Amino acid sequence: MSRFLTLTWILLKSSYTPLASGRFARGKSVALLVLVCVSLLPLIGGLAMLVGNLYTPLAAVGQQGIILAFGCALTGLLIFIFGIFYVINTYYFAQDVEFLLPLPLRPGQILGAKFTVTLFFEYLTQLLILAPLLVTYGIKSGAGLSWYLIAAAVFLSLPVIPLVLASLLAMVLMSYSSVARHKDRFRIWAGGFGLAAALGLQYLMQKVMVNKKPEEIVRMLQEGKNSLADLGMRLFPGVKFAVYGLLQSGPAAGGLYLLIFLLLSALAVLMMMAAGRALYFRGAIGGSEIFAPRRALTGAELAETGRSNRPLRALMLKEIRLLVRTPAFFMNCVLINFIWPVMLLFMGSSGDPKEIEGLRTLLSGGLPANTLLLIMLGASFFISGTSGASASGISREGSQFFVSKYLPVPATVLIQAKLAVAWLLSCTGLLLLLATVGIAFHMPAAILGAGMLLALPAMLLPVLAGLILDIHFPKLVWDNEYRAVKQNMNIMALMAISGLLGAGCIWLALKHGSLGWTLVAAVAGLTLLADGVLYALLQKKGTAWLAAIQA
Amino acid sequence: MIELLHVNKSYNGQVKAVDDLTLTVPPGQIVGFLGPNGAGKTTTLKMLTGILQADSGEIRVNGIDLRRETIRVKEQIGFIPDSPDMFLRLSGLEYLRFMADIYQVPGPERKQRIENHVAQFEMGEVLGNKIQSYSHGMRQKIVLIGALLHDPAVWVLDEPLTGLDPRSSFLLKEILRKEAGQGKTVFFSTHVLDVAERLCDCVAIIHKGRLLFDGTIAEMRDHFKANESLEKMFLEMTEDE
Repeated sequence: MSRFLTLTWILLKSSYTPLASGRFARGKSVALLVLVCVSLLPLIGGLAMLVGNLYTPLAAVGQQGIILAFGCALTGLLIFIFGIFYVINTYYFAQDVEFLLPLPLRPGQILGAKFTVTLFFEYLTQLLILAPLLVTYGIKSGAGLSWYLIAAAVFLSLPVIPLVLASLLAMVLMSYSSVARHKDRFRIWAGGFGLAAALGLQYLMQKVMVNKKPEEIVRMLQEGKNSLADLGMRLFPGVKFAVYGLLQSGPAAGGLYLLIFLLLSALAVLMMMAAGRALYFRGAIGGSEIFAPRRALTGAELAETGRSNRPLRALMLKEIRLLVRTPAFFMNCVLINFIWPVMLLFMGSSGDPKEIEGLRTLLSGGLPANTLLLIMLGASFFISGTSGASASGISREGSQFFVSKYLPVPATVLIQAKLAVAWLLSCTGLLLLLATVGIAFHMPAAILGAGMLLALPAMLLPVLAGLILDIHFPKLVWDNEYRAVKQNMNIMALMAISGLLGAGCIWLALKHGSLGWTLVAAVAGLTLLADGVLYALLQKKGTAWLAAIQA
Repeated sequence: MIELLHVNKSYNGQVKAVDDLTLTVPPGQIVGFLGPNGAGKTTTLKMLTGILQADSGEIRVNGIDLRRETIRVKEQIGFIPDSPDMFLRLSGLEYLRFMADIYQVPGPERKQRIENHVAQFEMGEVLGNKIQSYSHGMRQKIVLIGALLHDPAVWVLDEPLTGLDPRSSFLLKEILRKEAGQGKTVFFSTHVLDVAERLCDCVAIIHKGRLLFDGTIAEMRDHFKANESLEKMFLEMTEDE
């Protein structure tokens, strides 16, 4: 086997975490996988419905191709934007780079293998966005087998050009800047930019789509107000051949356009390899260097060494420091708790002013207090579940998990420290959100206060459930901290569970609000009971559960 | 004192890593734990420190049963793992304070010990830096200082000399000798037979999970009835039948 293929195979294999061994453990892993897949269904279903709704009016005027153009261009744009950071992390900052550099491999072989692995993961992203779009379009247009074959080829080749462009940009950036020396700072900035880009995209989409009937969106698309698609098309000129390929009625003409697109993609890869020969090693060598001027301790710091903490507090401090200082953990476990107020402000400024005013009236007294409290409870479940702090509590330790096992601290204290930090983060985020809601929507202070009190146990439930999940399915084998949180199914499963809990609460509030305070008391009581049961379970079984994890 | 009585450990119920191991490490002695790669040394040390659970058998440290009083046993031990890559985003000082908090070292003592050991191992200039920026040897030293802070009664070290510069290596050996001289127990695994020969009072040799020899180097020489080097004796002993 060629070195390129061997390396690609090894990199792919090391990115994959096998299902646990043993029948029972394997069964649990499969159950978790099913849960994650089910949790993604609403997103996929929502996209398919949107495409389905747009297709008929567009087809009536022969403009259904806009859907494909928009979908392909937007996918390309997303892959390019997020690809830049993904590429830098994979090509330069992954731990394997240091092992690969001393091997007798040409830059093209390392670059090619890393590009292929990155491409593979882009397919997973595309499965959520492009696949439902193509399948819905195919069904609506009554396409035949040849169309699906072309669509499959487009699916496989579409990310190539955006990823090549992202790779070129990353290689230039890494070769001629000091980014590599400030790895952590770069990652935090990159993460912040990614989040801002995602929020900006949502803002734009909302501005465009909010409160519009399919006919209006069709008119807008026809008038050329689809600037995102235009940008995507301009940035990746080859994409239009893929779209033409999909739009042709006959397989021959479609195949011809597809061939042109494939040739363009191959040409792009060759260009990248040529550039990589000159640039890749330049940026990769020294990528493991850390910028750290020697720093002796100040007198005050030395005096501090005598101050002692209880083990619980020491563990919490360690947990917080590592969460804040590790970019991947900071983005997924800390910052995520604080984006809700920002999102709320974004939604407020991009939404329909009449609707916002209506919402303000409802929140400032229009809705009964008991209904509002139940909605706040539901929101608390959901928001706490989106933070990865507890559902990656064990996974984040990675290969260092053995340290927790030899320290003379009871497992129950380790668990308490992880729970406390995750809960604290969730609660701080909620406090900020409630303050924003209170100010922006003039919500009565009494309801805000009562909501906060009720939210405390509601925020705790996903925290407890997340840690239990992670103790049972810890992802301890990773070569890049992002894998511990980004590719951690526990976080996604927790989002699904807490999303369902939150939705259930809001449904109860809107459908059975007439039950009044009895319903609030029942939900709050059940939450407290569930908290108590899960906490007792962790305290009673936690030691055995942690001991069962092979370190 | 460390006592391992009929200890067994297998992985996935198939690979037997440690097979009916019975070994005593008496106080006041330095005992080297030798064996080829994959012999079961690290598995034994991990069971002894509570990282892994033994399938069967008993482990006692200073008479305390590990299974019954896990935390008390852990408090007795100062453990140096084979990889010092831990808590890389904490500064050296934050790591030391963390270890002192976990082992509940009283304030005045911890301050003095941190200052002494940091000066001994010449780590003062980098104590404010993140461990991430340390070389392998410096990481080894900070872990070593962390383990020294609670003045452990029992030392368990997994390949402790790997990566240390000659000065620190000498210093560590001196510390181990001093600790053993004060009646403490020192048990360490190593591949470096020269070190074992010069530093250890006794050696235990393990191969494929089974204890092949346990005694002084003089006894080992008697066993082989020749004045051979430890290296030759070791190779003969661990040669596959």
